[in-house]
Amino acid sequence: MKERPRVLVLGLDGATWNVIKPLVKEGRLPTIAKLMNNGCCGDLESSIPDYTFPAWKCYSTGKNPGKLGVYGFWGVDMAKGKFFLHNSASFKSKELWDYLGENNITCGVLDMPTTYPCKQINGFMISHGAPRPSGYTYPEDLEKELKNRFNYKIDPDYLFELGRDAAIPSIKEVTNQRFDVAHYLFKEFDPSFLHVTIFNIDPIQHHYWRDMEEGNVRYGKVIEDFWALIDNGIKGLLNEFCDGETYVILMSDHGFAAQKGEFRFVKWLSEKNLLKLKKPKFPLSGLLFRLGLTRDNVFSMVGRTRIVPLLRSHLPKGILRKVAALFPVRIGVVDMSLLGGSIDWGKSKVIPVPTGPLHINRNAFASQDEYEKFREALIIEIKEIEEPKAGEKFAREVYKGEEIYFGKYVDRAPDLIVLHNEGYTSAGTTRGREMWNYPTRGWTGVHKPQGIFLACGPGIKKGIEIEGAKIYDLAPTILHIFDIPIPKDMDGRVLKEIFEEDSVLARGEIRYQDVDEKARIRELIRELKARGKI
Amino acid sequence: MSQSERKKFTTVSIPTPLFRKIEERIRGTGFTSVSSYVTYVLREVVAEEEEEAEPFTKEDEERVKARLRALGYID
Repeated sequence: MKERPRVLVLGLDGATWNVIKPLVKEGRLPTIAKLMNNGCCGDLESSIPDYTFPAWKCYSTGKNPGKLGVYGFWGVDMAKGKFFLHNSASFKSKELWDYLGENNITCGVLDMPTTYPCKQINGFMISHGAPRPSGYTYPEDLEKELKNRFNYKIDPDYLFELGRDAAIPSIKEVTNQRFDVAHYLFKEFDPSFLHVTIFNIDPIQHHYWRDMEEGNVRYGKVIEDFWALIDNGIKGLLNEFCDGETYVILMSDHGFAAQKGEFRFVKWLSEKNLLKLKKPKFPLSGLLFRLGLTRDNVFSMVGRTRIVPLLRSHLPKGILRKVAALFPVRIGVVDMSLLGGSIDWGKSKVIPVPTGPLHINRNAFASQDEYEKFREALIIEIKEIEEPKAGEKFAREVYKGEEIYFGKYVDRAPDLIVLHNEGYTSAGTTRGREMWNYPTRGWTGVHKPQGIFLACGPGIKKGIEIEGAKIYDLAPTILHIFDIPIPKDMDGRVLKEIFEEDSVLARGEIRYQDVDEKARIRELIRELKARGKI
Repeated sequence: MSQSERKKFTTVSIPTPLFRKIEERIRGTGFTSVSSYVTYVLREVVAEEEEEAEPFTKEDEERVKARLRALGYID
């Protein structure tokens, strides 16, 4: 019997070639450079939308959101008139590690978003972003071990609630810790498959992009230094655990680009009377915003007086965080009041999910025909929106949900999905007088659909660039590496073009398996019961 | 129910065309007979749903929002 392969996937949240390639050229990322020379790389097209939710699960299931039932961080409950946050249990599908586990392959998953609450797998799992300092590991007692050994931190002590200075050392500390934990887990469990996500590239690139592009003295190197830290972390892992026989895959859930302009979509809809907003109950946040007392402004002002570092070392961090939370953030990517109930759902024709997709209130239309006509007209209007400075269109494309999604949960899809031209975003806020906002601080870097893909290992082509890889293709490709049949309901394909022509993986037949009929029946019956049908 | 009772079987009639349809359906699924398929479906139908502990509470949702706020994702 041939030996079982070993696969390490490094999921680098928001990793993008437009940052990595110039740094590789300058010699700042020697490990990634070496991997590029020894393997195959290219863009990895993200899910639609290209957000953390659902992108990470599109990777681990190999399925489009129509089969998962999740289209973003927030779900929309039209009947109850509210938004709700998704979590791991919202996704209705088996994942890569479930199939590996069924074939007795030991797996480890560390810090991948969309994994809380944690679940049992054949190995171990440490959830990302747990809201409680407990219950985030499988097996349960792993949590104690992580606390004792590493003083494991779910999140950095400080993100951006105290401005940008406090965030950097806290984020670096946690990132180094993830690599240390990955070392420990490799040693302790010896998994044949390990997935490690390095999440904080995403917030770092959101917050310091403009500084990088402008070569700002104080913050211009933050992104570059962070990437050097990651390169070094990868080097440590590879040196200790990966020989030439290990498959190493670097991937990201989406890429990044410069923010060119933020369109106040919510404001636009509300001015067209398509969205009705209630009067705010707590106008304090809006008032502070108008006075320019945003969190970033306040903390960069007092930060210079050394008060913040002093307070930070003397006050419990919870208190300082609470004070900071009173101030609005500068650009208000998503307005909390919008999520908290400021929408009059009954009187609104269009409900914008704060990050962009649109749900249409079908009750507002007398017939299906009327609804369709309204939707068609709205598509035309959105396509006409132009950014006034560059004269560029805001939308690259506007799709109806059923045009891009397919599967059992397609009825939950947004009615319209607006794909922005690169660099443009929708603001989930009504604040600000102008329709367009040009952030100079806060989120100056934004997502783009092209993430990264890099693979090396036995039988994988060297120094080659590939085109057309999608986030859905990774799960089937990894199953093929392990010679496990690919479930027929996965949407992705095996990236056969990455394998050398005479290799076993290129020559070997791609095997498929039927969907687990028992699981399908169980799920179907449970759903019928939940809906009171049986 | 005693152990011996659990192993006993009885006959239930179903229309022959339905029987044939199920025969077709179970091909390649791992079910070895129409009886085992029908038994499985009916067991699932009559099974009492286990009261699932709510894994993700309201408080959790508020904490996640606070985290997204700290990241600057929501205001």
